[in-house]
Amino acid sequence: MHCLRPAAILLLALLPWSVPAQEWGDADRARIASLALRQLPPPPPNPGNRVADDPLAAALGQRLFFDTGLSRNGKFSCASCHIPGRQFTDGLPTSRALGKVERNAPSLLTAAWHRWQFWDGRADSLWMQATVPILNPQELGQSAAGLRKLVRLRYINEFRTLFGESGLDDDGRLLSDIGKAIEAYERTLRPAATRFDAFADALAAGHPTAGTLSGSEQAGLRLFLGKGQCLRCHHGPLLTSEGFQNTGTGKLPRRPSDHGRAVAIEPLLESRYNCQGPYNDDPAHACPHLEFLRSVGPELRGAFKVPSLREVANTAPYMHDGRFATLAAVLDHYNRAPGVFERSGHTELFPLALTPPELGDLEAFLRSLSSGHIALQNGASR
Amino acid sequence: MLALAALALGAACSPADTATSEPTSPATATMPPPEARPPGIPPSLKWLPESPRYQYARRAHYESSLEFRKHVDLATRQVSRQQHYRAEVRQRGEPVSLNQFQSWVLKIETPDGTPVSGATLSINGGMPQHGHGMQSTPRYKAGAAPGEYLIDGLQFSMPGWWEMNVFISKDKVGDTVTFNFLLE
Repeated sequence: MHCLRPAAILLLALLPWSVPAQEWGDADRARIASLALRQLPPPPPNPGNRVADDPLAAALGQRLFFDTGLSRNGKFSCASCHIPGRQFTDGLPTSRALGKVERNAPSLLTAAWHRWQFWDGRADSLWMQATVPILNPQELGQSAAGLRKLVRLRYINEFRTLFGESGLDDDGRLLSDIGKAIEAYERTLRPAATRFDAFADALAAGHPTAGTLSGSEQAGLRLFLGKGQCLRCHHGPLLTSEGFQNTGTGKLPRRPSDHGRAVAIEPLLESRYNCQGPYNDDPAHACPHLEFLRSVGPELRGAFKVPSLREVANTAPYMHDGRFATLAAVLDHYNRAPGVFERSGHTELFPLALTPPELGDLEAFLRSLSSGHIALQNGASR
Repeated sequence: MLALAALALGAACSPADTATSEPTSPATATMPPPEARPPGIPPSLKWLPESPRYQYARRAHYESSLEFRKHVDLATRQVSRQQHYRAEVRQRGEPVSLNQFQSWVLKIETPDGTPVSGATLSINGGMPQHGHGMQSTPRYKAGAAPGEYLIDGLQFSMPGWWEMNVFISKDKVGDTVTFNFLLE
């Protein structure tokens, strides 16, 4: 026995060196676990839409979503700009339908979890959002008469079953009912699990993480959690704070300024389709997000919604105006934080001083957040 | 899980500091004073954006640095800048969680311990390191006990260092109290 003792001491002495240099600490493990898709609950209930979780409404919403009859000229549908094969984006810097749209088409995969819709949060529910492009002359440009005709022609039985007769004579109610059916469809979507989620689950369970994230991707994850400060705005399983932040993107050369959230407050509060309007189905009519709305303030100018990073590699181009074609260009923007010291511009960013290899690692990690698939709430995927 | 770690005190401003930033005329005392520096940047920190120390304060993990512990008081009980009021804040109900509306209780008293009821409050704040304000517009109403106020509609969208400034005005005596807290 005595002769074993020196060997045991030797082993103990070697122990610190036998631990891999890139071991994850407890704090980082907790942060990684908080980002995993496993943490994502079903979409929060929307009492403002009484058919939000009705499968019949979801089926109707799916037909409406792909129906070109929703546009004035019969050539465009919601799916023209939110293409399922492209993670519900269109791959264009700014969308085109009947006319030119000013903003980039965001993915719909995570929309059901968001309080605010549109890049500037002009809508406070998913069904309110759906009403806007249907009427917008630059998008689908449909008229109230056109919608009445479409519903009577193709969907009359579904509307009678789901919404009763009242909407058929009330243009506002009919439009809100169409939006509510489309919301029910969009609530069936869910982001699919990615290689990052496999890594996070393996790490949490204490299983080997080999074959999930490469060394470069793990180095990028470390930057994401630390030096890159990405976690400040991109946290939780959807990798977004759902807030509005100014990252210095309000002004593009030779284009008019886009003031983002600052110009969204008025249309939000004046719309009949917001939470306080007559078409909200919630008997309690509780709208704390409007009651406590931040409606004035310098931080609203040039602020846009923090997008989810789920499927980020498949949703180029980036930012509200699609100004960046690649993830590398986005990371370069955050790394340099242009506008910080210019009196004319404002940004909440600050230069990160990441090196080119670090930027490469970070981009590699961001790509691991994409699966190329779409999941459904019922567990199916495609 | 997010925890409200603590609040702090503010390092009371020196008289020389406050004399330049706080109007003392009774006629203007009901208006919040103009900010001499971005909220939350301690008086000892030069705040011009070009300043290396200000840049340092905006760096990642500043809130875990010794300098942050030294300058930013996380106590929930604070004295106002000109020492006209003492105030204490506590949260009601659930622990703070991101993006959920919070409801807090603020208790205000004079330095000799007399509760201050019927004051007019102006509540703002934000994240000093990011240069943005609050994501919501909090409202207040009188609480049950003398000197107590219920603040509703507080909302925090990010982890990190937040601050809340409450301008208290009563009988033409206006003063600002600052609370700092860390969301993790």
